[in-house]
Amino acid sequence: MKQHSSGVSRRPAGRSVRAGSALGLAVVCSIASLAGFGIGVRSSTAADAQPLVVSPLVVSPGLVTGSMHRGEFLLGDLGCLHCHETDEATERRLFHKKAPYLGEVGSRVTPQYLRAFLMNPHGEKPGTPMPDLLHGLDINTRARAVEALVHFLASQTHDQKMSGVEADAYHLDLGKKLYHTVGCVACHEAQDDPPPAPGKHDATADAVRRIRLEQAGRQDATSVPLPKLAYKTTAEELARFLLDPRAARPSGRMPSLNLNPTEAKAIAMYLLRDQVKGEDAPEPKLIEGVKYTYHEAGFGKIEDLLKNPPKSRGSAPTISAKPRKRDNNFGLIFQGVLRVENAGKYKFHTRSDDGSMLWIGDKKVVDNDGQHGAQDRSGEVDLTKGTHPIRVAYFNAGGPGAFKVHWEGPGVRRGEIPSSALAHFGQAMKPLGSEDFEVDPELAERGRSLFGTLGCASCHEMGPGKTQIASQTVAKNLEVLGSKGGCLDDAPSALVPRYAFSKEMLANLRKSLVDRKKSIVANSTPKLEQGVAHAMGAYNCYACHERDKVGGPGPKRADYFLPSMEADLGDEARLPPSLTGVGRKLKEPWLEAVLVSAGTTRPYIATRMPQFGESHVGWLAKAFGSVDLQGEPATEKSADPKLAKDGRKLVGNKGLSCVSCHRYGKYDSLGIPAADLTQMTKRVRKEWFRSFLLDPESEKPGTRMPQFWPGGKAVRDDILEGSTDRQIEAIWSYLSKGKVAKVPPGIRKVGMELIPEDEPLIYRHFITGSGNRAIGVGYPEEVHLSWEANRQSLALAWKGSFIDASKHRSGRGAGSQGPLGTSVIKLVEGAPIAFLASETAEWPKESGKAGGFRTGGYRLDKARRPTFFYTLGDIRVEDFPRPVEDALDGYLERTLTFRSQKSLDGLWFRAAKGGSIVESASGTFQVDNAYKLTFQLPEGAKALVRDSGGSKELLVPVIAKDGVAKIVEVIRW
Amino acid sequence: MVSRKMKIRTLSSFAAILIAFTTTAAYAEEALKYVKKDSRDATKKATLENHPNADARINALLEYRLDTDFPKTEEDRYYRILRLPLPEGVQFEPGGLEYLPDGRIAVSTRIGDVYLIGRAFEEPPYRPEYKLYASGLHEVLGLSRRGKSLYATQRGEVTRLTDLDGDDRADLFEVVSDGWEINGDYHEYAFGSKFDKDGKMWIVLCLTGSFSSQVLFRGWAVTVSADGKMTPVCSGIRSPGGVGHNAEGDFFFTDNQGPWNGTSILRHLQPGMFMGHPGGNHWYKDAPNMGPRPKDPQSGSRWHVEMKKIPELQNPAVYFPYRKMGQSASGICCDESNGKFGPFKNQLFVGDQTHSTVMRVFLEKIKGRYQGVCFPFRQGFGSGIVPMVQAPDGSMFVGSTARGWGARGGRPYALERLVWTGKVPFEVHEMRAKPDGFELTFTKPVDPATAGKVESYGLKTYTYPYQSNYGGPEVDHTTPKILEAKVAEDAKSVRLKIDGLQIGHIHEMAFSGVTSKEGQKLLHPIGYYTLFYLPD
Repeated sequence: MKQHSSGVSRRPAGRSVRAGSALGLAVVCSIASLAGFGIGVRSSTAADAQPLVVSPLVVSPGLVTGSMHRGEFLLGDLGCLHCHETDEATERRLFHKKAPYLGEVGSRVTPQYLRAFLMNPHGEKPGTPMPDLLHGLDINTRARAVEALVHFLASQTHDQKMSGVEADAYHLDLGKKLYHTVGCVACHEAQDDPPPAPGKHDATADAVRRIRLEQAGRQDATSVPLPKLAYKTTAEELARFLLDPRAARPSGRMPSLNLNPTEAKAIAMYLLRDQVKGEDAPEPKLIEGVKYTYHEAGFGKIEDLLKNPPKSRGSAPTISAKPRKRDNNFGLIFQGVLRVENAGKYKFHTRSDDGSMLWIGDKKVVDNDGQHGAQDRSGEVDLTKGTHPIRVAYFNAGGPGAFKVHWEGPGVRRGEIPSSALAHFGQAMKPLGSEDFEVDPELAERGRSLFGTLGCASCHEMGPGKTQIASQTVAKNLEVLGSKGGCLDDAPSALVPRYAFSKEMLANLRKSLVDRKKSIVANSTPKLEQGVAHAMGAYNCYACHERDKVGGPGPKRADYFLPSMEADLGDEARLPPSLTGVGRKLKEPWLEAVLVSAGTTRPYIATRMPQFGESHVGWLAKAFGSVDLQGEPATEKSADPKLAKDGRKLVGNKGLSCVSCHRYGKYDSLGIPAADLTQMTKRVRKEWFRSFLLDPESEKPGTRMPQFWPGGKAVRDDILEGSTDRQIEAIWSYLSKGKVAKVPPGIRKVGMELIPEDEPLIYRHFITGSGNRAIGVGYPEEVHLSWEANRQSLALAWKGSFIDASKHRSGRGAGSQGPLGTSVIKLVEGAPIAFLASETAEWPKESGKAGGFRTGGYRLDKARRPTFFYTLGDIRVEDFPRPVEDALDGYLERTLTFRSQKSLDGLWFRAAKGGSIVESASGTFQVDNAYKLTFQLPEGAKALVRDSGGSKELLVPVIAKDGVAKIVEVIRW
Repeated sequence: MVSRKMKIRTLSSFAAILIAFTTTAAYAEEALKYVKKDSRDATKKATLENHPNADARINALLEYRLDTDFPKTEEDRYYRILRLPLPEGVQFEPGGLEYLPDGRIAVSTRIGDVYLIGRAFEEPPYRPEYKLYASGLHEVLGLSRRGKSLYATQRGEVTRLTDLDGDDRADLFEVVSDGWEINGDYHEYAFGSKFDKDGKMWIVLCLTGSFSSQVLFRGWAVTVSADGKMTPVCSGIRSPGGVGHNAEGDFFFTDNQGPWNGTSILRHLQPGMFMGHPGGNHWYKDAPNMGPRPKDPQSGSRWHVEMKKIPELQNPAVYFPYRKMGQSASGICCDESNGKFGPFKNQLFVGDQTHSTVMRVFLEKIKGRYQGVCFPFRQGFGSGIVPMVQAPDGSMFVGSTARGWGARGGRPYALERLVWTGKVPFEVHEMRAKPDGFELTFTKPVDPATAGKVESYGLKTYTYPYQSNYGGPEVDHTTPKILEAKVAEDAKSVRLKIDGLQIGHIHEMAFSGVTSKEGQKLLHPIGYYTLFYLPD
């Protein structure tokens, strides 16, 4: 492909070969091509202060380049080899960084950005390695040249029309979180504080962190610069770029972070968030996705939800529960139009917990209303080709939630309704400073010519499959390049590219060139370990990983390395692993998987392993091994399969209980999410495994892995006669069987249903819908309840199975558990009793401790049924719920007893609150569609239904005789 | 001889017993004898075949005999671990332990049961009797008796459990105090002590997670009197593993490695003091008795440096160096048996959950502050230790669980009794700071030739960073010089003169060369002294 002649190079193919000038850069036909612009050439001076080029040497201050000179590093990284050609081996050794492809720049970058950037590259994007090629032109000429280039570049497009997307809070939030956690800020500047880590919300730590960040200074030269993105591009284009950065930037320096399309879109929207601020907000138009309103309240049915005022609004790509801000007591109403391509019968399906409803136009198509567990409903409708209004409402009250909407029809296979089939009116994101721009073919043609003559084409190719443009400039071969003049001049002459080198960079580059001339560099064969270190610098691996005491997150960025879940693993859960000795630790195929096919074993680290491309870093898998093993054999003895049985025992919960922390294939560990055991023998080398088990700390400083063979002696002396060697061999042998082996004992979580057989069972824990001081009571009658001790109220009642204790009785027991049975009803929240000045006085807002209540506890009767008691001031209340079985079904009978020395006049018991409370003739009160109440009250007392801020309340007067009052309430559902 | 492990395995089922009966008759015969005796006791009709717990009991017997005849370790000669067979099919994860005047042991478990155990003191412990006193409570990590009631510390409250009708089942569950809050995070544990001499329990409350306190008094210690008065006494707690008192009646708690704790630490709960983790300090506004909120510590500093800036900051009484001593310090139990538990009268015994060990702590009070030394004491417990309690006969009951946090012991849970055999081990008895070194006393007279040589001792010091990040490495290593080792006339103590003691550091001292008069080596030739104060 390449040809080398004495000291002069030619590239790309088709470029004319000319002798180089003394400056190292010759301009071919420059006068001819510029004459049309009436060029006036001016000379630039060092007084034009420019921001400096940012390179990995700056980004990784601790970078060690070994015996290789830092100037050599820069030769590769600044793209010098584009013009100053050299042999292929040197090019590879210097990690020649290729400039972006411009074949599709017309759709990727707006004309307004291109114009500004070309006019003043270093001012528009401080730190860019792009040289200023036009510094020698006077301002008018420059502007005309730039305009021609812009028209030429804008004509380079793949012709995809930008439809425009609407920014929504969900994507903006997600994008902000992702940008600051997945690894973007390992190289780029942070744009906000680190998001809180899962499980941590610590004001003190946040304050400390903020101060530290302020001290460290957000903006400095150790970040790879970002351009003014809001002017530069659109959300779709940026997302497309983020999904596959190497398609536009072939150097691999900008890696892929394994984003999925939603994530890429979210980061893009976040980075372009300025496009939705400001005054020139675009006109609403029909765009993809749906609008929604979000509601917070405890809904019993869709009707309640439709009446509720929204808490917030937004738009979403598809109909899902994603926009919710909490898991319980919320509702969502989606609205938009459905695009139908083929007329015919369409079937819609919903699965929801609790209720949902789907309308097309005014027709209710799927009715899945009411409080219930995950339940499937469907409905059919005939639709014409075209658009149809669609509306979907969904709510979840207590307990777990679920929500899915599917459709199927002519030409549509059953599945989620895609974003492309949904639309609504909204404001699309649009690059700032947008203008009407039409490519002027004549100008574009001039631009094309300039692209070649000015030397743009020396660095920028158009990309694979595109017509390349030949550069008309020729430069000296690298090996004969002088150390002075040319680009290295303090004031390069016109038409010589001007860089923004720092003094130190200049010195390094000059020294490197001198050494090359003296053949010091050329003749020395660099060692492989230097090559590895150079690569880690070039791809900025050091931003995240430490190796041989170099690199790792610095103080400014360390706080952005976060766990993705609450892992309780300390720094191991957030910092990427050290790469010291990684070739001794990991097997080559695994290393390769990590480097080139996104292999990972640490789900708890939010930062992702970037993918730089096989052609760039694939070789490292082998190189790490060659450097770190130092001749040690890479083969391992196979394990004795007879030991696998004992190995399984050691791994299980009755052995060393590795499963307490490590996951096993699809089974979560019992505690923290440490590395998957089924991958272990594929991942790590047997020698390392052995040495790690014997002394975890020496192989991995700071690890929380316990030492099970302290001093080389087995703590389990009853397995394999306590032989350390055989035990470790046994574990390896078992793990070698991988996923086909029997799972280790103790890791499978099985349901643990508590069944009250002969007498009631008490279950005090975090019960969903009943607060954190919940007292669940399961009765043999199969009617159960949960008492909320925080608020002295009977919170839930249900029938069937009582509760599954497995969540709380396995692992660390984290989380809240809802009832196991069916037909769960949620009774009234808030203060159970109150003195009211009149029948219309408002029910007090305060309950529990704040309302003056004190929990007393409970007493068990002979049948072990609890009577709960509490006080409000002088009033002592006893609440005795009792399940009663009748011919058809069970119900609850609840006896409330009130005692006080003082008068109870004006005291009321609030039996229910709901959207509707209707009294039937028999004295039965129907509360919503959920349950019915009847009362046994003293003579003359009457329950009262009243309005209360849009809903209904059912109040029962407490009427005392001799200081004692009694209310019997029957709850049926 | 067939190895003892092989025997246990083969004997673990009843069918195998009969085979064992004919081959290794001696043990099996004895086992059957016990089983028969018990069968008679329990029910006249019971036979070996249908006895529900025969397997567990026979195993317990065999293990007991084997452990007696063939001690597994040197430690077994002095302190024996007797494992109690547990009721079948029950998730028996001890969280709290209490001795009852009727000779029974009360055990609360993590799933919320409370058992009363009879015949727990039998040797061998093969047929304890379990009564389910209460169930369904919220993770009880503290049990204390007063009068006829048991006081259980649940996550959200202290509850008084009373059996009103004398059927060994609690009927009345009264809230004594629910004066702190709970947010639904699994980390929000509450550990409760025994009643102190003023009739108060000391409750230590874990933060919401590792870093912050989202609801009232998370990360605090409070006292609760039997009549329900709650008083906040100390802030600064991270994630405790246990709370207990020393012989003087002062209360201590163990805190685990994590933010602001470089390793596990024992600290004195001195009312008004700040224990070191600032996560819960915003509740000072709700604790007017505590005065103003102390200054926040500076992350990355050293504990003794911050103590100079923050007068309320309590010094660690003992650091338990990470991995060297353990990884999760837990229950605290003082030997108040006056010699029935061996030579370590009034010293503290502290569990470690991860390592399944009990450590020994000697504390001294210098300038009004506690500090001292920890030694390894006993390893080999069945699971991860949490609660401990001493019975009047001097023995200690040790409960353990490995759920959620792995432990070396290897069993999911266990209840064991630690008994002194009557033999005195050769150990460093006490280690005291002196202005220019340390004074060591021993449980037996030393050989002056070895104990008087400075080469018999090794000393290095280090500490941990005091920081908001999780844990931390050992830092600031020094190697002080031992100038002189002078043996006392009675040969029971040695005075070490040292150049270079370091305030705020752990002094890791090896005694590898010291032998007793009879030439015996120390059972545990290492100790870790946490030095914050020097006597004048």
